[in-house]
Amino acid sequence: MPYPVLKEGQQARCRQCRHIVLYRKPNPVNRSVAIAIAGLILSVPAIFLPIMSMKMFSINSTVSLSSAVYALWLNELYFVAVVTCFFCIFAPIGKLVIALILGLQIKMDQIKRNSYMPLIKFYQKIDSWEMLEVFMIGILVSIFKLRADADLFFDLGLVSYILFMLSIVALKLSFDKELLWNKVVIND
Amino acid sequence: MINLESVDFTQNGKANHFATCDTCHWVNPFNPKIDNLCERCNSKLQQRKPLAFQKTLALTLCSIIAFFPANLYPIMTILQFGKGQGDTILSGTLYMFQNGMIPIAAIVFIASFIFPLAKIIGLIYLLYSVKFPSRISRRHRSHMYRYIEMFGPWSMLDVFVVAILVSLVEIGNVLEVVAGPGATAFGIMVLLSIFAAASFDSKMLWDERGTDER
Ligand SMILES: [Zn+2]
Repeated sequence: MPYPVLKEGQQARCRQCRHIVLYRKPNPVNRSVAIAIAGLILSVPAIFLPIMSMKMFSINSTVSLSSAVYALWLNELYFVAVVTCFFCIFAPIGKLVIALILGLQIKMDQIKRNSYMPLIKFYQKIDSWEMLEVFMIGILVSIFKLRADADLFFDLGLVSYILFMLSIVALKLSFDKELLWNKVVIND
Repeated sequence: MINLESVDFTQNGKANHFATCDTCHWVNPFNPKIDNLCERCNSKLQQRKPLAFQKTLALTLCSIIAFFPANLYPIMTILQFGKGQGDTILSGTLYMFQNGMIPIAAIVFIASFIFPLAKIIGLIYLLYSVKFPSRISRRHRSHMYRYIEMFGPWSMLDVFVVAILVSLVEIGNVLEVVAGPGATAFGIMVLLSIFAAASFDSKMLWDERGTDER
C-alpha cells in the first residue's frame, strides 16, 4: 500500500490516536553521513580519554567510559559490565557505522541488495538500546555526589563525550528509516 | 498491492485483512489461513503479536520479583580504610537528601525507584484494561504505553553511577568503592521491564470491547 507522499519536513498522523505515523526529515542523507563521520571520530576520545579525575591525599584517579566498564568487570559484576558496554559503546558505534554505510550506499546510488536491508533491520534492533544520555546524567550525578568530599578535575574526555552524545542525538533527528525502507524495491 | 477503493475506512486494518509489517511498517494484505511474509522486507507478518498478553504478564511478574533483590541488596559499598556499610538504592538516595543534595537525590529517586514502579503498575493496569472496562480513554492508554516504553532506559541511571564511582574512587587503601550484588539484580529488573513493555501490543487496547468505549 503506498504511503502518502510527503515533502521534507511534513508529517502524517494516526486518525485515531494522533500519533505521528510518518515524518519526513529535512535533508536526511547528507546530514546523517556528516553526523556519522563526526560521531565516529569523536567516539575514540569519548570512550578512552578520562572524563574526569579526582585528587585526594595527593593520589590521582581517573575515570573514562572504558575504565568504568572494566571496573565493573573487575568487581565481578559481569552481567552489568556487559550490558553497560553494549548500551554505551557498541550500540552507539553500531548506529553510527550503519548510518554511514547506508548513507554512502544511497549517495553513490549503489544499494547492495544483500547488505542494505539487514543493516536497516540491525539498526532498528539496537536503536532502543543506546543509552548515552542516561550515562551523561550518570556523570552529573556522580559529580554532585563527590563534589563535597574531593577535588574533581574535568578532562578533555568530558568534552569529547558530550560531543559524541550530541552526535547520536543529531543522528536520531536526521536519520530517516522510512526513507531508507522506501528505497527497497518491491517485487510483486 | 492494495486497492485503496476497496478499503473500508470505518473498520480497522485487521477487519480489512491487512497487516502492518513490524519491521518496515509496510502495509500488506493478510490471509489468516497461511503464513504471510512482508512484500518489502520478507519478515513474518502478524496482525497482533501472538500471546502478547501472556508474555507481557509473565515478564512483568518476573520484574516484580527482581524488584525486591534490586532494592534490598546493596548496589555499592564505600570502604574507608577497608571498612564500610553497603548502600542500597534507597539508603543512598536518603543519604543525599540528608546532605542537602535535594535536586540530584530527586532525579536518582525518580529514575531508579519511581520509574520502575510506575512502569510495573502501568503495565499491570494496561493488561487489566484489556480485559475489564477502564475509566481512562483508549487514546490516553495508548499514550501511557508510549511513555512506559520511552522511560525504560532511564532506570539504568543508578547502575551507570555505580560504574563511574567504582572506577573513579580508588585512593589506595584509604577510600574505595566496591560494587554490590544489588546492581546485577537491578540491571536484570530494568531489562525484564523493558522486554515486558516491548512484548505488549498496543493494538490490543483498540480491539477489546470496541463498542462500549471511546
Ligand atoms: Zn516489512
